[in-house]
Amino acid sequence: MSLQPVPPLKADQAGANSLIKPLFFTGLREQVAGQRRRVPWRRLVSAPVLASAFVCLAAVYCFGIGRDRYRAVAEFVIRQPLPPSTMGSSLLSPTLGSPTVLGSLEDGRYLQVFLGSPEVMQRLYPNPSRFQQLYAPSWPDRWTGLQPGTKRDGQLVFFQRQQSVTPQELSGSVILKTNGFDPQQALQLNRALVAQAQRFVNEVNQGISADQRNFAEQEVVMARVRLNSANNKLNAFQDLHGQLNPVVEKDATTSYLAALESRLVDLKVQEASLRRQFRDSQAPEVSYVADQVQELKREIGAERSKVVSPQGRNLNRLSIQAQNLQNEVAFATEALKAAMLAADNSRLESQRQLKFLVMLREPQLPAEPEPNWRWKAFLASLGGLLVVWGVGGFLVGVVKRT
Amino acid sequence: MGIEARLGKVAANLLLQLRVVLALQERELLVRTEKGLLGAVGVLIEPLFFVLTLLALRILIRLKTNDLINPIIWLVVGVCLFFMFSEVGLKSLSGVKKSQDIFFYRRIRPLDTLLASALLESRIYASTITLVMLGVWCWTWNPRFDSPGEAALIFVLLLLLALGVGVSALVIGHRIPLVKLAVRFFIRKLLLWTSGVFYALYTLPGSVRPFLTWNPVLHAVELFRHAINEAYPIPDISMAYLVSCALLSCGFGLLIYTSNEALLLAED
Repeated sequence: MSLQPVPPLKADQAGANSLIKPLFFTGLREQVAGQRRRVPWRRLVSAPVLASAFVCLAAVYCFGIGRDRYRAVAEFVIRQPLPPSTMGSSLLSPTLGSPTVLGSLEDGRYLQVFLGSPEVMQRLYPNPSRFQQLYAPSWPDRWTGLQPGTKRDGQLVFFQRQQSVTPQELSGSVILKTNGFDPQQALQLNRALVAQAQRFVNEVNQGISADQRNFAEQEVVMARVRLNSANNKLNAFQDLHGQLNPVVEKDATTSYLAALESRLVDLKVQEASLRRQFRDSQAPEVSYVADQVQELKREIGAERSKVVSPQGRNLNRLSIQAQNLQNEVAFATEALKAAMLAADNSRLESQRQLKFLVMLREPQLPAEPEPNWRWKAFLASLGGLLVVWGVGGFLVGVVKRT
Repeated sequence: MGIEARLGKVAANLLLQLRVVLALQERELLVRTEKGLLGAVGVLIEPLFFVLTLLALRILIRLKTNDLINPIIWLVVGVCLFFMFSEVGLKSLSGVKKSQDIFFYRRIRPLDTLLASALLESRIYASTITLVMLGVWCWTWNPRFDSPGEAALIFVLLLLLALGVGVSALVIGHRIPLVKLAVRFFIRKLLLWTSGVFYALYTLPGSVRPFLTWNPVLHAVELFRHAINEAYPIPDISMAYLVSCALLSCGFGLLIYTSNEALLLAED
């Protein structure tokens, strides 16, 4: 290897390269000797010593002292017997999820909140002191568990940390993980939460259906009242005007008048024919028919005015009124039928189960402690140290240079 | 020589190596500080500006987001991890030539300058991610980081991968200059769009995923996001693949570097 002549250092690099020199002209032995001349106890608070101590402590806790944790896992999906109608398909619709998947995801998100709620904790652990006793810390790990004297809020936070409800975006299933300090504890908590989830799914649906049923029954009562009122009005109208059906009577009168007018036309034709036959327009045959025509005209006019005159029978107005009342009765009848049908359907829905919690994976009794938490915690400690050194040291350096 | 003495010697050499790399990193930071417009703070702010630009672009075109991870954190993770990989890889291609003057010191090798440059880039981008996450958590008051240790491990693996790719490209590119151009183009143009910076893999159809999952940077980005929230789906993503790629890349890079170190020390 042949080394080329080194070019002269630039001004801005001279300061930087001065950092390199002490590294090589002060050897390791000199540095160690220099450190020995310092006060001995100050060596203990140096960064490498503190970092090493931290790593050792983390390792001792994570792999030695740390209490065993057991985990039970269950997986389920919330399905409807009749899936909702699909939306229009698109290029990305398989990845965005079918309506069934989206529905299960939605229920899963509700369960995330519900299973960590104070109500569920109260149902599972009605006695706070018993809950405290079950999860109390034990030797040698005095930091893990529910500390004595924890208030209800703190117990709720601890309870929420013991469970993990994770809806899966792609499949719509929900993974429920529960932790415990012994296998039975983890399994019992998992089964209890699954039962609560089942209860939630049923209660919500049946509660909604019960509300709808109550509403439908109220609508039936109102429809019945309305129908009775319409019937009463129609009967009163008919009693007042002494007619069973003004519409039918109007039609009959119209037919009668049409017949009279038809007879009038025949008589007029006959009169015209007789006038052509007889030279004398005052002949008895002609006068007879002419008199009939005049009489019929007078009669038709009188009948017509009697029908429509307000002082007469006024059949037009009466028939409109009767039609309106009959329409009201018909509408009230239809409304009552619809309300009764809806009420019956709501009754059936409230008793039927709309959604099902289908177990994909039943929780099993953990056979051995969960090993992942130890490595995760240890790696998190190392990661924290790395971040403090890497990020913190860098930021401090930047601030110093600024 | 007894075992204790040998171990002591090894430990001393390792510590010396660490101090060399740290000193070179300080030197590079100083050079950048003096060259940059905003000084020392500019070293940190430059990646933040780029992230803010992309965030504004994302807001303007209203990219679909999910409620699993805060969208700012989601974007920053993708951008910072990719650009850390890109900067470490690309700076490795030209870092040796720029540091020729300090090879006068026999103790300093080209690999030391590459390690120092990689360390500086990783600290810059780790600081950016950390500051943005802390800022978002303070704003939303809803911190969530399910597996910080795993995230740190993924970050280190990506750094190793970048280093391996950079060193390999540097050594091979010294003999075949076209390789350097190809690597530059590949990293800047192709990898940017296949690394999951602007999209989440699970939102893509299943038939498209095999065309992207060959990219280990995508695995790193998605695994990091999964470490923030375990509910974040990562179909076809594997930690084993990332570990394998990182170790193979780093191992191959160091292997060919060892046999070609003299070539790098010789001036072009």
